[in-house]
Amino acid sequence: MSEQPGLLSSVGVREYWDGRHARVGDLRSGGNLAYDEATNGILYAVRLGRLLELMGFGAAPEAPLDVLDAGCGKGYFARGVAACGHRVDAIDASLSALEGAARRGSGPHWAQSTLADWRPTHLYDVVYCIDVLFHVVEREEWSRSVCNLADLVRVGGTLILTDVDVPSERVFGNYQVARPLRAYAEAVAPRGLVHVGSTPDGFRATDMMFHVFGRRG
Amino acid sequence: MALRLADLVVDHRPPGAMVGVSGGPLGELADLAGLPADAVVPAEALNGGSEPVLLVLVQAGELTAASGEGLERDLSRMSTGSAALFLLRDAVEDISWPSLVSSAVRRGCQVVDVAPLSGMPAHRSAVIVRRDAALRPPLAYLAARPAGHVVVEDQLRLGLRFAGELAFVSVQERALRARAERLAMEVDELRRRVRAAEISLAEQRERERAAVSALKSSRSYRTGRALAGVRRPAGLLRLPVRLARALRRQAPARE
Repeated sequence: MSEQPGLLSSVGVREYWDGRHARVGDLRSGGNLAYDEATNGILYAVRLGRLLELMGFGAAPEAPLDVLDAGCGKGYFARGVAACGHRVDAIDASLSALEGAARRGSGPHWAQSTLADWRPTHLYDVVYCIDVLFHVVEREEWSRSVCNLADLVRVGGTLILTDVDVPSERVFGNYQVARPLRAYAEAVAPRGLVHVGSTPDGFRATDMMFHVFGRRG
Repeated sequence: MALRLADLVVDHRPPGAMVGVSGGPLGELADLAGLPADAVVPAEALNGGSEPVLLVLVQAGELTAASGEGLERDLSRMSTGSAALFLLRDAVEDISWPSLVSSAVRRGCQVVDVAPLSGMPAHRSAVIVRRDAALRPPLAYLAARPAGHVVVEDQLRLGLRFAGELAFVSVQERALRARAERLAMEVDELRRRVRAAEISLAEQRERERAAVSALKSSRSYRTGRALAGVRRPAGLLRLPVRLARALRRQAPARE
């Protein structure tokens, strides 16, 4: 059941994304439906650049960064990050998205999981979650998801989350709930992470922000 | 690629800090560090200062007791807020680090990062050591970061976090090292079997080659070849001569 009238339930959102990944082409399926495929290509490339900038420009394939792409969709960012020499685990709840990701190339380790249920046996240097958390509409699941991702960051590591820059919680359509930076900071603070900075994704007049958190304890 | 010395200097040099070099040629290291020659001085010249400095310590050979003492001497030159880049010949996975950590701790310093190094002819890794007034989280691995001290007020929480991560990383490292050793032994055993199979195959080939050779020199074979060669009348005329030649030859004992 969804918490607010008109919003899809968590199960409904997952079914929506599974269908959308199966139905809609390469980048639009996980990107912005208002843009065509080519414009989504630019959007994704700009965001990958911003992500790499936040992760740092060092790479060492002999001792790589351990990275988690949480909610990888068809794997554009995961493949891009892996191509830069990092070791990437990429998870998504949608099987059709993961099948599409696997078809498009190897490199990352693909696995089906929700954000809240991923239980690896190691920590990550970088955990990132791009354009996913505002689709987790139920507050309880959103909270469990953010906390689980925070727990996977090693001391000195980085958590990168994106959401629409809003002053307070705001609902878009029937499957998006944007939360303010404050909500994220309050959710991860008890897990030992502090807000390091926020930066816009840099694509057109966007209000999408990359929020960066670092583990300090 | 891994990080260059210039990247590490940009990341770890305290603002406005002098750069002291120990164990390497000043001019060459200034070039590699992306610094003007007059910004680099011998580490001994920094003795006694209270300003933060950046030391670039170049390890010439393997880590030894003497090099550990040299490292401690250099670290003792560092005031609070200073950092040292200890350049090693080993790749990150081959660093013999226990005594290095002991040296740093004995001098009140913390190892905050270890990075693969590129662009230097004889050095493959850099250990970043800092002297701070308090424990600090390790730096984000391979990432550029601003120089300066990340203040963590809750030192107990940070210590608990270090201890918790160390407990799990240690036990998993033990398991992984044991697994790697088992796999290495399995690989050795498989290589030994492949070598034995190759030797056995070569011996078998040699035996078969000898058997074929013996067969070809036998009377029966030569007689058979002579008979098989008769396909035309002219061949029939030459048959007695060929048979006589084949029978005159000494047949091998195995016939």
